[in-house]
Amino acid sequence: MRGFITAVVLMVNIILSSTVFRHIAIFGIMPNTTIIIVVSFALLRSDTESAAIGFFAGLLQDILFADALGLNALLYMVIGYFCGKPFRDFYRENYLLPLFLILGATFFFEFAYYVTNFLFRSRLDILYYFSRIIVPELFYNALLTIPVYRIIYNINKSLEKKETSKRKLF
Amino acid sequence: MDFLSKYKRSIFILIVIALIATIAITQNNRSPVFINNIVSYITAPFQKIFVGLEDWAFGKINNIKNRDEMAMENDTLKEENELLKIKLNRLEMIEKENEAYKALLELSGKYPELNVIGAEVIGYNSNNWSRTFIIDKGTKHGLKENMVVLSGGGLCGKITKTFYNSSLVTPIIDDSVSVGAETKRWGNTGFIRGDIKLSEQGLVLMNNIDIEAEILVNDEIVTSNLGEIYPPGIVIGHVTEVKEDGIDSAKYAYVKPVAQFSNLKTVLVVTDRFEMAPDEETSAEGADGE
Repeated sequence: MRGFITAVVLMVNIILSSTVFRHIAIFGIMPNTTIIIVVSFALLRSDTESAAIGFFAGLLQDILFADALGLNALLYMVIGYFCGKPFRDFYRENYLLPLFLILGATFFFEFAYYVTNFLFRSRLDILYYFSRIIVPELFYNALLTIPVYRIIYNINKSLEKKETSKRKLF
Repeated sequence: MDFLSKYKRSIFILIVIALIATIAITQNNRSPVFINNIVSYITAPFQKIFVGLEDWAFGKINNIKNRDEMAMENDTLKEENELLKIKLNRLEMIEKENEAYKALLELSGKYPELNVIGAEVIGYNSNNWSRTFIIDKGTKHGLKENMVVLSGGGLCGKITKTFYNSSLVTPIIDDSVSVGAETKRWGNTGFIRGDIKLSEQGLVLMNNIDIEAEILVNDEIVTSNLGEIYPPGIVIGHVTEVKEDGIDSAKYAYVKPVAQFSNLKTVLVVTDRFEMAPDEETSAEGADGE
């Protein structure tokens, strides 16, 4: 049940972001909701589980859009693993930690993507890519952090409720 | 579960290494077809529905907005249509004549007729680094990788990945693309390169032009027969600016593509493939058929 709902969330995310997101683009820059979703799950669940979620979220992106299979899966899995690690006992209604983690994760992802896909092809104008793509996306992701985290939090809460009630039965 | 939590770190590192290996192996698009197809089988119909909804909503808004304009446009289009019909008739005659000459000169292999099918754009890459998009035709409809995609009467890009019911198109404004090109007037060759920075202004770069080449603003740029997968003679765009590169002692130019990229709805996919040696007569049946 847990896996199924998570898979549905990831699927809905990739379908929405590939169709309607270009209408909410600001200055031609779209938000990266996949990162927000992966980090949100990472904060609410264990690091193993969130690494798996990150892996599958990235794999979906790879299969649909990437030339080589595995880069997105790798990056999102690393994000899921490290964001799920040290924060198991934080206060879940606190929004500051998700915000900082998502900003950090977005920066890590975009920078790694730039290095692997652009710097290796000797596109050296780092300042341009920073000011035009990475920084606007950071702002946009920060803006969307709280609403998306709220949604994931509610989904997770209802899932946990269902699971505990099932456990009481037996 | 005990095993999992005990060796969590080493499993994690193992998967990371495995993934890096997969990246290296699948670098040239050799990803497993079966898994790809399952994913696109699920996503493509939904994407199609969303794009349909989008079209419907925007259509409604536009309908209300400019009904008068549409009526006027309709009239002018009708007139234009009449004119075009007449012109087309003339062109058909000229084409017939041309074919006769072509047969004489044995040119039919060099500029083959193109067989195309239409496809709808159903999704865009949500990544800000890349301009690839998804169309609603796939291997089911006979599409293959490296087929050429046209839009708006010019070169749009090529298919880089195919699924069962959809495929991924990489347009020429994408940062990873390079196309062999030449000027229509003098046949000066160069390479069309996509660039994120220029694509913001709707331009592409043409570089490696000979320093002594005569290339001017408004020159028409077409695909050359060096472009491996691209048939020669397809319009790419018009030159907007020519510059000299001091270091390489070569020229480069900014080219405005004929094809539209910002609000694509439909594209044409050329179903003939041109990957083989240019000498091979690909369209003997295409030219003789009608």
